[in-house]
Amino acid sequence: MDKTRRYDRQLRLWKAHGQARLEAAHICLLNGTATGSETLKNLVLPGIGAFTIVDHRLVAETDTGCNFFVTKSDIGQPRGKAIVEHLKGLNEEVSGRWVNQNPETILDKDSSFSVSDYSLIIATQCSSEMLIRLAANCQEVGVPLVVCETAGFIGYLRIQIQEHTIIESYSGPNEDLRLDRPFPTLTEFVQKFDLNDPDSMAHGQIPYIVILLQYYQAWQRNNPEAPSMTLKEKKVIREAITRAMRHPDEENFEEAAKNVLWALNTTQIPPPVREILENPRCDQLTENSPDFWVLARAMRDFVQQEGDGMLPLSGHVSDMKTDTANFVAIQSL
Amino acid sequence: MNKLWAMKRAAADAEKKKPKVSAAQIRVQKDITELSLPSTMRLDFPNPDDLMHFQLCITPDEGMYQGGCFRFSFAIDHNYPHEAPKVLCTQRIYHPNIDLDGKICLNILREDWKPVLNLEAIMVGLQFLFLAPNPDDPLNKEAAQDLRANPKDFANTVKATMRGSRYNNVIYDKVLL
Amino acid sequence: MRSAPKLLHTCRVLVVGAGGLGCEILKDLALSGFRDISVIDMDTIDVSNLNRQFLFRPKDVGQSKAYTAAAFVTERIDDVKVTPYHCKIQDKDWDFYSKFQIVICGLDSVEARRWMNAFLIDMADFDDPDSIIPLVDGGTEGFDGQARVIIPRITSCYECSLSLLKKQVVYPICTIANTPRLPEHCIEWASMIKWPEVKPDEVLDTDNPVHLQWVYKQALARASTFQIPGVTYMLTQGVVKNIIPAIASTNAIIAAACVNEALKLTTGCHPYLDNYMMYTGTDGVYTYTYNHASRPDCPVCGGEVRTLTVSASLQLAELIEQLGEMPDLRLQSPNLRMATNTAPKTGATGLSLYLQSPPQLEAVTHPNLTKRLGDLMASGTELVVTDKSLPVSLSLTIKFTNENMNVEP
Repeated sequence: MDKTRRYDRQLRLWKAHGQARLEAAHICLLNGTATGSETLKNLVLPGIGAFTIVDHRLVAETDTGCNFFVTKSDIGQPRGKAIVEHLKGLNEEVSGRWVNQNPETILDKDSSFSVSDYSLIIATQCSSEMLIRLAANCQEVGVPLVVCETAGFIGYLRIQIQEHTIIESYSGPNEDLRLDRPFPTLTEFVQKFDLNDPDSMAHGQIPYIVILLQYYQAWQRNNPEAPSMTLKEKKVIREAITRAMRHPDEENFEEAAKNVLWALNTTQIPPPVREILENPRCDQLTENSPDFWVLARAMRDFVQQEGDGMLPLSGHVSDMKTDTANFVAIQSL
Repeated sequence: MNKLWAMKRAAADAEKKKPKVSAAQIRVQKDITELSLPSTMRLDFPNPDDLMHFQLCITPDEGMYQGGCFRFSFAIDHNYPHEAPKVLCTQRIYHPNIDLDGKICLNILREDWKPVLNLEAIMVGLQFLFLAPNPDDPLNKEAAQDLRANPKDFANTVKATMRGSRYNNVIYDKVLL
Repeated sequence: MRSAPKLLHTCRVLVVGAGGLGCEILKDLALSGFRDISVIDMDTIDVSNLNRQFLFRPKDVGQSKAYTAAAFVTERIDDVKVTPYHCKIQDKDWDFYSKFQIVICGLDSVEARRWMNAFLIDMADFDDPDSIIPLVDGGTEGFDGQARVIIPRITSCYECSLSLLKKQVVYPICTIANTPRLPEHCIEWASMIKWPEVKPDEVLDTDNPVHLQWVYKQALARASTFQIPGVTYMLTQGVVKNIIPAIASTNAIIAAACVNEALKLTTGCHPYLDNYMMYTGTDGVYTYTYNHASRPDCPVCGGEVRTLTVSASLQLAELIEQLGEMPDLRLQSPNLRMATNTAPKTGATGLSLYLQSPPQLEAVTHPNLTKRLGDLMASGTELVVTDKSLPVSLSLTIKFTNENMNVEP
């Protein structure tokens, strides 16, 4: 079974790395409830590595009325075992097993259950006393705990997790233009363009970044002492850009005018990022530190040394109105 | 009484079974009957019962394309106005924004189409292409370059190709009236 | 809730679509107590469905979704009968749809939803409560989704909210032809421009892997001449087929919301959703519910509906005069077309009865003005009337006075 074809629709969301992490996961469900089985279904289908169901009960008739993963012929059989079989049918790549144990006893002295065997634990229909002990255990070991219950039209979901670090985010990156502190190749690139180019086609292909930077540099020359642009000054520039449009269809000038307010901001490290860089976890690195903090520390070192107070450049540029050669050139600056 | 009731019920049921007009067709009926087009534009309906397929003929009364009659085919489907109509130029002409296969570079036909626009907006947009061809957003690169390099020569080429001649190894359709 | 089981057991529910949402909806309906379930879907099963359409197995690839889904649920859950229909929704008519008490849609196309919505709205008649069939509609994309309840002619309808839909990304044709910058531009060039040039007699079949490979190779070649990175086979498929990412969990959430509403609508146990819930699970979890108002100019549910009884010997021009005199409509220059051609004599006339504009259509339909209504149409014909003063249209049913009909007591 070709995995890239089967998983195509989800790979578009979390790509190969995300899928690899899913396939390395081992998830534990306490109690083979309908809610729990339904949750596992949504994890087995996309291909988690393995799952374990801890359940000591036998399938009763009431189970068949609400749980898709037990049938009438399973009645009297161990519930966990029945559910595992039906769930495994959803995806032959996934390993599933059943532990014949009362979930209430998993933390007892003689229990062989170990929270740290799992990447994540889902608890349903557990007593609050047990949950409190389990939560403490999960917290200590660093395993996320998901608690869920349902009753009629009402449902409850709670997640306990100490820290969740994300390195590869799949939401689009922000534009990081740094027009107020342009790097040398950008400055060089921008100088090649003439805002008064008589050739109307070339005029209409000037990337908006170039337009903005040229206006900004003109303002800098007239205001050498000013630390940053005021809102009023930005509006003045926006009007000037709009007036410079040679005809109403010049999209590149439209883009420039539209983006004046944020693109000409002072480049600085955003406060939430600064918080992360200044977090003591960056100093306390050990072999076991998550990659996230190692990277954060590396980033902090960069900012303090090569970066001259700035973060590394993401390099992402969104599409803009210009010709191919210019756009390719900008991307490679 | 029963017979009457049965007849009424049958009539009511029969009515319900008739295929209905789609929202797209209603919207097209409205768009077409409420067009206010200048004399330079004429519509042709090969089948007056089918308002979703028709032709538009534009005869610009000024500019470089004056004197020509330019035909466009409109094909509207049942997803209108969620989707724009498909419009093609049915003749081979020399124009920076229309290619030799009849595809048209007009923003509201594609990326700037909104359901709140209508057929009149498209027709006006098409006419504007003849009054002010845009060399800076070219579909036909050679035509665009010619227009930018030498507008007088471009105008002459347009006149020549409108007569239905060969230019640069391409045979153009006669569009002069 | 004492009568609830009986209501559920006897309720005839139709599930439209047996895909990602459809499978989840069928499971939830069956486990909630519904016993008479029908499902309609024209598709067959593909490998890429298996990550979420859990009623299908690798051995089912190529089989009918409706039949496979129906068989699975009927076998798994006792006392439930799921009846499959493997065809397009447009292939079924009033006889089919009028049998159901509730319709739940798990479709993946705007056009299909508009059709279903318009059909049910059209069926709804205040004089016949059974003809008002609630429509529950769900949709998902990646981690996001929405669910809504449409009660025909009472709540807003699907067409009212067309403007809410996310605009599909479309690239300017001149960018595709001459100034590509993104890998997507190269892919569109290969499918939209190069393919018809090289294979004018063959229609590009987006489900054919051989066709897709061709498009991919062409796009790659073009991208390399322009030095544009990023063309992959996956991106090619995504652009050409307009693929929407999909996962089981979001489908489960939205399907459950839809079935909850079906439960409430059928049993009356709690207030139903009024009327639109949006859900997003991309950044944490966020959901928002509100009442989306009807548009007065909605072409599906906003138009006026009238019936006029006139003599069959009335001329069309006189009918139009009468319409102009109806004080509440304020029609100035109405345009009339028939919904279906019910003309008694073949070739006598067509759907377009009289159109005031443009000149070409006015000229063709002008002769109809002096014709008698009885010669133009049968009694009970629905006319579609548009006029500058109407926000959208008027559905006008013309009935003839029966001077000659014998009324038996």
